[in-house]
Amino acid sequence: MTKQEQVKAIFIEEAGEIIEKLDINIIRFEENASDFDLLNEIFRGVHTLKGNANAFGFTRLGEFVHHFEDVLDYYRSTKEEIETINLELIVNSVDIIKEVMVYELEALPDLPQSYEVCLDSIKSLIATKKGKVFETKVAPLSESLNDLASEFGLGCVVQYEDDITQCIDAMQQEQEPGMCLYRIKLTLDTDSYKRGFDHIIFIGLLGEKAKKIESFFNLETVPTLDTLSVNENYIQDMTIVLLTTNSLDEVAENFDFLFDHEYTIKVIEQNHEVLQEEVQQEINVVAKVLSKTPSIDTNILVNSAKSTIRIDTFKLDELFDSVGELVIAQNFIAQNEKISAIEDESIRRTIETLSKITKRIQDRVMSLRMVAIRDTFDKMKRVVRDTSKKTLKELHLNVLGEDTEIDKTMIDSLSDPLIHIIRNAIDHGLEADADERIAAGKSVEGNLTLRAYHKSGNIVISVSDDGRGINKEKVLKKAIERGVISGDENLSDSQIFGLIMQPGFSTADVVSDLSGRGVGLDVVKTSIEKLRGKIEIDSKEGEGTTFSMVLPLTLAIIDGMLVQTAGEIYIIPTLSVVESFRPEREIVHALKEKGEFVSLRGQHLPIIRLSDIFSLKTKHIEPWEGILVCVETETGRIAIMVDELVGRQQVVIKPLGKVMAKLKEISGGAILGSGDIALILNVDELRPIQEGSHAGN
Amino acid sequence: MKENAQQTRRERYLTFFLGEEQYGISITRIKEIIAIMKVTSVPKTPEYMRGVINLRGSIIPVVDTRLRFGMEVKEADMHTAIVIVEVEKINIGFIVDRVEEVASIDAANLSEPPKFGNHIDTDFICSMAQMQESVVMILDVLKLFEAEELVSLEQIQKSEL
Repeated sequence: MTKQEQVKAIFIEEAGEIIEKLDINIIRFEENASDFDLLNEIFRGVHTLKGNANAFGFTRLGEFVHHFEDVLDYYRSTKEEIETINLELIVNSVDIIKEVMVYELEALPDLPQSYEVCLDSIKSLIATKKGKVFETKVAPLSESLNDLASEFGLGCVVQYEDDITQCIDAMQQEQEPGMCLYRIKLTLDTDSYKRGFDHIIFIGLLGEKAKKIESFFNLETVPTLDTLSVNENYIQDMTIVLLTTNSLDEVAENFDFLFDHEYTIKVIEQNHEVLQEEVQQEINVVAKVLSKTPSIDTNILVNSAKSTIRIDTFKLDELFDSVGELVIAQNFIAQNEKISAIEDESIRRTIETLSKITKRIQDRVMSLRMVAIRDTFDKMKRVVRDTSKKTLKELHLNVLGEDTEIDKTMIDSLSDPLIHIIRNAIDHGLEADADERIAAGKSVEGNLTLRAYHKSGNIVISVSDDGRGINKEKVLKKAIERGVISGDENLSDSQIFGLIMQPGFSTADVVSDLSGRGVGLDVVKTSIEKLRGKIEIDSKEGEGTTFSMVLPLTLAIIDGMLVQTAGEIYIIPTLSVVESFRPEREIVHALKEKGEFVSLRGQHLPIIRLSDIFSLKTKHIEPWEGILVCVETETGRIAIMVDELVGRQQVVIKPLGKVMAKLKEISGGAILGSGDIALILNVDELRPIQEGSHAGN
Repeated sequence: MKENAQQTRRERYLTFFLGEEQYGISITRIKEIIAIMKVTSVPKTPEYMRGVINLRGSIIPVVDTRLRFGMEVKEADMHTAIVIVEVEKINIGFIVDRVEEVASIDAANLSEPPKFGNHIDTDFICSMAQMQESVVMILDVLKLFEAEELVSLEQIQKSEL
């Protein structure tokens, strides 16, 4: 990748993030169109996007965003109430930006039709608005121009410094309690315009809540007209004195477009007052120290406000692998008999310290992969809004546990299933109209709850509605009709609800009065299972339904049950284990051509011998001499027969690589504390050698 | 022999023994050589797939090269080594009897492998090299592995998509 391509890749990633954020913010803004702080945030995002787009020659995106920015800027500065129709236009514009971005990335020649239409309406909106308020706007504009003109006349550096000092003094006179005085010094790089920085807009942003703001430009670096290039920033040195009620963090927020080395913010303390009164000598010293330290302090503060860096997830994985090795090596030392035989206090203590540090490093590295689920939930707000509009159902969305952290790699694959479940809940879960809800004694507005929480080492993400609930009878009837089940089974409630996610069940012609669920839910099930999770459905007829996605904390680690058979250790994911036991001789039955079964509380589970399906060489033992591990699989419960249980432990999943990928029965490998490798079983692919029905008996 | 520049190019090969025969693999593909270690067998794989090893935290499949060539199994001894080779961006270990040396072989000394007829698989020998007294068979690792497994794997993966 060339440097240019790299920069472009960063731009694309950033732009993607900005647009994603826009999408979320615009929905929040739509809910509360008087939230001008939010509008400001949106504006800043759009502004950055404009700078980036133009810098990379995405002119069509650039132009659209430019006009869009005008609209936002208008409402932002006038604080005028936004008409519903224009609000709709703003929301739509974000959609267009999304679309155009795709077109730009693919370098497609034609833009979607909606682009022109939307751009025109934006332009005409601006034209009418600007026309109407032209009078009021011109006054402050010319004033600020005058200010600039007078400042442009100053070129001398000494004068420049003097002016700043004078200005600070003047402002300190005006300073009231609760206000802070900042001295901001910018040393800009010449390419700052391309990064979306603009002197005027920048000062405007800073000045929003300011009591007073003055800016000083050092114009010595500006060349003569014949060598001037419009794309370069020549006003590199600039000082702003700002008197505002904003906190340092709020002020620092405006500097997102700039690199760290391009700015310093100093808080100017009110030393005069401290010195004035009958203050003791000691405090005097403290005050002096204080007045010296702010520059350091604020630097730290500013840094902490923006101390995130992008890391390639591949590098994280590598780090993760290395830490895994470290843990194994540490375990080796801790468990080594020769070392533990050494009776030396200091060695023992060192090993203990080592193990603590290792654990801490492991935890921290793990946490690097974790992100709050907030962004995903925010995205869902849009889905809820759109679905609610489309289905004409009024509803209220409750979001809980947005701070719950989840593996980054998992989050990306979570959106689609979540969207599916949410749409399903609104479309089919909630009652068809208000009348039906009122008849059922519920409020007109439907309730949808999105919740994320931890539960026994897993993360649960649930979507609950207070709609009709699932009608078990109808589900059963449908399932029998479709041949998903035979009808003789004695199914528990959750098994019945589980039926709606069976592939055979979900066809487009599922009758709508059958609580409707089932369209494509098997897809959701598959994608959740890919994440090594499962879906649980809970429903009470007439009261509502809850879909819970139970996911492992991270994709990289599973809780596994270690079992041994024929001298090898295998791992069964604990998530699918129901129980393990040594069967009584009486409950084991061998059926000709159907293999062995064990009767367990009225259910007949097929016994699967690992040694058989893997053709391991071992002496034949009877089921009552070994251990049966009962696991839940897609096709029902099975009992896996093993020689013995070894233990339970968290293991890091490692792929076996392309070469072994065709081994469906094995989903990966894990390195045990001893350094040995144990294979992880994919229980859904374990079938009795003799393919027979095992759903019934 | 040295009529044009092409033929005088020298390449480096890692040579090793399987029984009495000497083989070579282009050094560019070789990641490292390690001593034989515990191999965890993976069920339902061809016999020559000895299993997987833990190479400093990553799991790497290991091929018993003897079995791959239809030779008899030999107990591991102090000379037995695993040559880690990168094939199509994945690392694969090959168990060999004894690693010999890194030899520079003149392109001029390479010749076409002889044909033994259809029933003998010589596909993965890409050329023969004359070195002093002995003959080294240069292996095409890609074919050695790709032969059936990788290809069928690709197909499986594609059909799953």
